[in-house]
Amino acid sequence: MTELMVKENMKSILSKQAITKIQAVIIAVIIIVAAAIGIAYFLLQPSPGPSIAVYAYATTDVVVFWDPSETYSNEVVVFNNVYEQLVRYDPFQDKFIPVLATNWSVSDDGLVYNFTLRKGVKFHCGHEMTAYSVKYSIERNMQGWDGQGPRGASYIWDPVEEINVIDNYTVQFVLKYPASLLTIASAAYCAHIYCEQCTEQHGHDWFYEGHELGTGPYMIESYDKEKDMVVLTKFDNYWGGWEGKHFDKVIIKSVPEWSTARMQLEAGEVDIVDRLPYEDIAVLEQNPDIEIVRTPAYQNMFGFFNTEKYPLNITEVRKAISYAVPYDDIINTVMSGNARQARGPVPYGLWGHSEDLPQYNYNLTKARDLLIQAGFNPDEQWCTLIYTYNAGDEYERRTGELLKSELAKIGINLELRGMPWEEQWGMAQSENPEDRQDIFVMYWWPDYPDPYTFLGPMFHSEEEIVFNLAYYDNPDYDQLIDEGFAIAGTNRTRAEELYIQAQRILIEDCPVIFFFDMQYVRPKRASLKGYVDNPAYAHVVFWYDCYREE
Amino acid sequence: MKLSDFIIRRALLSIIVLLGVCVITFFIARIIPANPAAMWVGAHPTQEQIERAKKELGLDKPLYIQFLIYMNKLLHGDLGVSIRTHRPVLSDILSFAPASLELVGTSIIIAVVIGIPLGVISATRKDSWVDHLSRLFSIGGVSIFTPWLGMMGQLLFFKWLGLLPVGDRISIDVSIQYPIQRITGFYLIDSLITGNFVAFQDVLVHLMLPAFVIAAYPIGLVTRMTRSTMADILEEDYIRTAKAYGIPSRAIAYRYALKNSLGPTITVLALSFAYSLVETFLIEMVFNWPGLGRYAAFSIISLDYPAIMGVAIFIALVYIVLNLIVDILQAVIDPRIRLT
Repeated sequence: MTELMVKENMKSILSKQAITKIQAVIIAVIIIVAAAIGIAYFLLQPSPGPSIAVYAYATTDVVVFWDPSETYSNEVVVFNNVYEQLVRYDPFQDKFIPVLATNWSVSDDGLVYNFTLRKGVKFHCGHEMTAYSVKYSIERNMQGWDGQGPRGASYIWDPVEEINVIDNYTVQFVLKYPASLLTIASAAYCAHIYCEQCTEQHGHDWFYEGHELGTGPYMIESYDKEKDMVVLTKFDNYWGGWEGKHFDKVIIKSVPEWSTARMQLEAGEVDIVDRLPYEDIAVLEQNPDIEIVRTPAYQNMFGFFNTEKYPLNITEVRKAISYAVPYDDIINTVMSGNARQARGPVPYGLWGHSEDLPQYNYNLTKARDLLIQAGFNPDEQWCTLIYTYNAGDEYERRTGELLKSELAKIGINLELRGMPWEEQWGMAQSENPEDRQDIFVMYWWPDYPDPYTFLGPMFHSEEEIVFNLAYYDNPDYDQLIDEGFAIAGTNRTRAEELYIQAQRILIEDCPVIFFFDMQYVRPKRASLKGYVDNPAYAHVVFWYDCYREE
Repeated sequence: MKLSDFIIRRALLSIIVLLGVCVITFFIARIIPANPAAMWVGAHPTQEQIERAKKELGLDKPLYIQFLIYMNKLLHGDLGVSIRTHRPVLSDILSFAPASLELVGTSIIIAVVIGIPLGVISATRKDSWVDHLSRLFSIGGVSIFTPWLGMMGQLLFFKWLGLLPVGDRISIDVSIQYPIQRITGFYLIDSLITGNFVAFQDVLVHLMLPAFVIAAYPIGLVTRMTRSTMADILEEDYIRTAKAYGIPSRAIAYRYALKNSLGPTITVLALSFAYSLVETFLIEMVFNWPGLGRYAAFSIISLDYPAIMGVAIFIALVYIVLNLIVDILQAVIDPRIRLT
């Protein structure tokens, strides 16, 4: 018995030491953590160095398509600093700026374009940009990297019949039908010129390893797909030179959580954020270190009526609803004033938009009269309509709620349904019009700054349903816009006349609710200078023009 | 049953489980009306591009053939290509999984280090004010909405005190000037192995806030479980006998009672670990953490079915492996349990 007790006591003494061992470990961990925090507080500064800029971008996947022949997504923000086009479009002066092309001429019939190229431009790989590079790049875009047809936004080159090299620095485009080739060549997607020799050597998959072959002021130093971040570094042999103040490196990273992005902007860790909720913008305006840049965007919001389903196949009903939309309320409460009521489908600031076009205004009396005229009684609930929008989009949802309460006053019950985009679009493409929604809400933005990109894809008659989600079919309208498209390259004035005529028909037929034209609202540090928001290149910051000044 | 027999039997059962996961997720993902071919192409696709994408993605074949093709690729280790990111799903998962594993792993360690002593103290001083306080604390930890806690943490420690970073795994300047060489994908381990102490300390600081926030739930869980199982055991006869022998109460608590009560706690902790790998996606959003949760959430929202299936299979595997380890551990700790 005593032996057992002695043994137990020995064991208990040892176990006491074992316990203190655990305590020792805990204390050690706490010390390490505290030391780390202490060092971090004193050693690391929150802001990146003086010559590094940071752009926080609200969507995920900073780069999706790496091959410049198929770009169609977020990478446009990166690629417009790394690659260059023949020309770029300045909407404020309504002019094309020479970039890789210094001069150009058009034949009288609008079918032949000659471009004089800039001499001494080097790709990041070291080769020189010549007319062969242009021919190769655009032909590859048109054929597709696998020869199976154009990918991404490359369909924009459809009007081109052939490309001829006249000499090293002169390239000629011959078109199948007249089109505005300058606008196409200035597009944010699929209009970039890249090195033909290296592309031939390495091929499509090499791009996806994170390589690029541009002529732009910045090169891609690294892409971290885990951090969803691109690091750009300056290209010393850039043809524009590096006189004056420029950033040496630019970091473009994805920060999908707006509260985190906002805190980083306020702390100076980030120079500019591409978008934040309007409530945060209102607070940031009071902050002297932050500046808000507002620019009319080429982005607008539509509510497509299902014109193939009762009762929206009746024009009076569609017009009545258009008169019941509380446009001012939506702009002031949903968009916090950062929008203007749309006037037709072409947004404010783009040519082809006309302030002379008619507009439906909020007028419940007119709405009621139209319904009565059509044989309905607005004083009792006479129908239910399904309003589909992109789940998670607060603007689309809140607009729906405001619309719902107004439509209730004219006897319409609006059912709001938020869905993922794929599902929403899938529903709109159902075989049977009865299976589809009644009002489809979405935004639109252009592939290149031309009214046809608003008038065509959404309203031209289609055999298969793609984006004409009002299922609108008007041959007169089709003819007008097709004529306008053909003539836009040579006679802009006439094209504009035709487009405006077409819009008059469209507004009268009323296949959509023209909600609003949006504004881009960009919060940035006041110390970031040189930034101009060009709506033709949505969300792109041209970092070569920017610098920081405290 | 011998250990090797047990493992073999478990492995066979696991294959059936994985097959079930594949079938269910595959067919559910396809029932929802959607057009993955259109998403693959980009912003405003034309009809021809959509048709071509359909053929490329194999979506024009009948559903059961698509399933067989998928299973065939799976057996060769090919999880397909993500429709959203255009990268192989396997490589996506392998890059995002270590971030989640490191984060959740750290939070489990924190939970154990804090929760077990707290539970033991609670159980040994049952119904005292310490006990009541820790019970309040553990219920708070389990009930609190952790993303909110995360945001409050950011407000307090980043905005007001400037002590901790607001998010990310590593500072931008450190990642440029002292880049971590990728060996395992676990930044703490990789930076230590390569002697990159600046990065190690930076990563540790970035881990602190999110790890503690995620630890709230398992701390509550561990404290409660340890307390209740220990409280039961402390009533047992053999404990009374040990006290009668004069063995100090500390020894009784940690050497005898705790070991016996660890069993259920370990099981619950393992499940919490597996669950947290994907469930913490809101916290990953708040802290901009490039983890599996966020990847899974974005894949689900965009109906990226290869990625959804890849994540489902991966998580199923994690559960299976964890359950296996836990069962073996139980048998090791408690000789009364025999592997069956």
